[in-house]
Amino acid sequence: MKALITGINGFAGQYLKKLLEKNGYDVWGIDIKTEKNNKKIIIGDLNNKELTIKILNKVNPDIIYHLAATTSVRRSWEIPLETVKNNYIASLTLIEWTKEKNKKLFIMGSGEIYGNKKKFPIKETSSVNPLTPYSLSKYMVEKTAIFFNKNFHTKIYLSRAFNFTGPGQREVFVIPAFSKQLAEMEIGRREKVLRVGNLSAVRDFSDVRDTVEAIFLITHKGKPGTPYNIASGYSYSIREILNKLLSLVNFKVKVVENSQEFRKNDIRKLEGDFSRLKKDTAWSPKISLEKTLKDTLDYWRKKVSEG
Amino acid sequence: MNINSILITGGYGFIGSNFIRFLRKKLPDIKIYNLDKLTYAANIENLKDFEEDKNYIFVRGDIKDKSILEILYPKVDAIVHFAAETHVDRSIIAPGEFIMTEVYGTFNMLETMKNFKNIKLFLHISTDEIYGSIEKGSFKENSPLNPSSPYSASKTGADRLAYSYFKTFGLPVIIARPSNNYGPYQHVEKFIPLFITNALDNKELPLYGKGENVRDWLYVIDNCEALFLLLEKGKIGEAYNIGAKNEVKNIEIAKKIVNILGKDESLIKFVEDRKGHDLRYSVDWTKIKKLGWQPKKSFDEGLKETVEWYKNHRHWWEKVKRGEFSNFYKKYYKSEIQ
Repeated sequence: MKALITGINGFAGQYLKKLLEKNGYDVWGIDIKTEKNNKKIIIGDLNNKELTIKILNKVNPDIIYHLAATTSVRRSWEIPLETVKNNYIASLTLIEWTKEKNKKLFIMGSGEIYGNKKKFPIKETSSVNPLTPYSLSKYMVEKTAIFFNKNFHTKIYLSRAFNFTGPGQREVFVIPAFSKQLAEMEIGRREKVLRVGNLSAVRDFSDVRDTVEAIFLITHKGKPGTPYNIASGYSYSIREILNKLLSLVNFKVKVVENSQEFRKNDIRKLEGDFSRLKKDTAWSPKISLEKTLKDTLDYWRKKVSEG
Repeated sequence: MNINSILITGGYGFIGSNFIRFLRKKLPDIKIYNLDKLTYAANIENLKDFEEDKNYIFVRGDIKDKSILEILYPKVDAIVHFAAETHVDRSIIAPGEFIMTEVYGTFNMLETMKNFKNIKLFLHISTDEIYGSIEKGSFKENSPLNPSSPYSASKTGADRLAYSYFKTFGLPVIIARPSNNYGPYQHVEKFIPLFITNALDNKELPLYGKGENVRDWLYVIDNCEALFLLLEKGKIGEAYNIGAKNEVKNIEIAKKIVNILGKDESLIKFVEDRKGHDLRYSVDWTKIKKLGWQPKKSFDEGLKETVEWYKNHRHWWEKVKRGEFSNFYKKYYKSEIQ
């Protein structure tokens, strides 16, 4: 079996690659840039439809895992139209190719599309209300995929992933950002002052290793055209998470809150119900947030001391 | 014993949450880690006011997960191990969970502790039910153990495992064996809260058998004081009974509740007895008395305060009743109700 991952050099992409290889897949990838000299990882911009189709025809995968996207919510506010356009057009090309060649496609979606809710944990059956360019694009892609599944019997697998993190995530995201700074403080490379943004947001974090396991299971045991929440089922405030990280180091840190860091239309709380995923694929989260944080901090300790 | 940082397991349960609240009053500056799996019996609202407490860290996780213990253990001086499946009726429907949590979970906690010499005390919370039923007199700590439900059998396993890790590996273990607790924040599936909340709503009070069963009722705050004393002055390797001299028949309690609330005794309805229902539990707690503890609350006083608490915390228990508990309730008392 041959798989192709878009955004293979991204955070989830690298973990999914390892998991697929472990399961006997011949894994190929497309990424916008690559440092690795690997003939199976092809440099390509998914917005270039012709080039994308050429690559797909050449690789001819049995399944495409579409992870590439402008994933940073903060960034999506800086370039809103580009975010919506890029995420949507890229997915359309993949949907079209899959339909024509009768292949499988997995599309990474986001729990952000639910917007602000009152009842938790959020089930897939509750209404959606995208509040950011990023989640709007994810919603449009999902709707289109469901439409194609219904009318053309394509095999498109859908997910709504809530936050996930772990070793290797870029430091534009909150947990790696905190971890990196703490690691730098630990070896005296940074003043022991941590400037933070909105700590009151409440999020449902999974470990990336659990998340890619869920992706794998959705494409093997899940139903096409059915969105699955990928979530831990429990949420913590960013303040609680920071507190946990602070308790993993043996020095005192001054925390300075800066309300300017609040993002536009920020969602107050996200907490996903994963019972549909559990029912269809027997998935449940295996890694506690404590372990995720410890592993992430250790990753940055190593990285910071090396460079 | 000097404690700077403590790990509480099952801290969102009834006794665990009362103990965390008690501990915070006694030791305002220590770091408290609460490891809880958040099963049905846990209730986040029990410690809602701790959200702003920077020295309180909630860890959602399982005592069976070694990786989580290895992260928490280096940070703490002491452990109080409450986490357990506790409802005897559930242990009759689904004993497997009890064995896994009580026996394997406690084993995992102790086994992991071998590598952490920084932990000066493991206070294991056991129960008086492990002695079994007694017609007359009271059990001492060295009386034979004779558990009779899957719940008490698995608690016996955990109790003896804790002791064996003291005896065999020299771990600093103390075992507490409290009698039946009652008070604020107890889950509504338990006898006293069930009867109070049903009576408040003018619903029937399903009483097992003839209501002749006798328990020695211990007010949860009195229990917390006893546990705190064991943290400070308990002798390593010893077991301590904690009781109250409040032996009351269930039928008497039902009547007291009805009377406090000004309801009619006709609400009480006798239902088929629980399988293997022990008639009377009684422990002799001279040993902990010698350490300097005795219960302060009389049963009538404690019961009145508990009734008052449930009256004033309707939002707390209505949520629980509407949820998963109602399915269990229907399954268990099915034909007898409605």
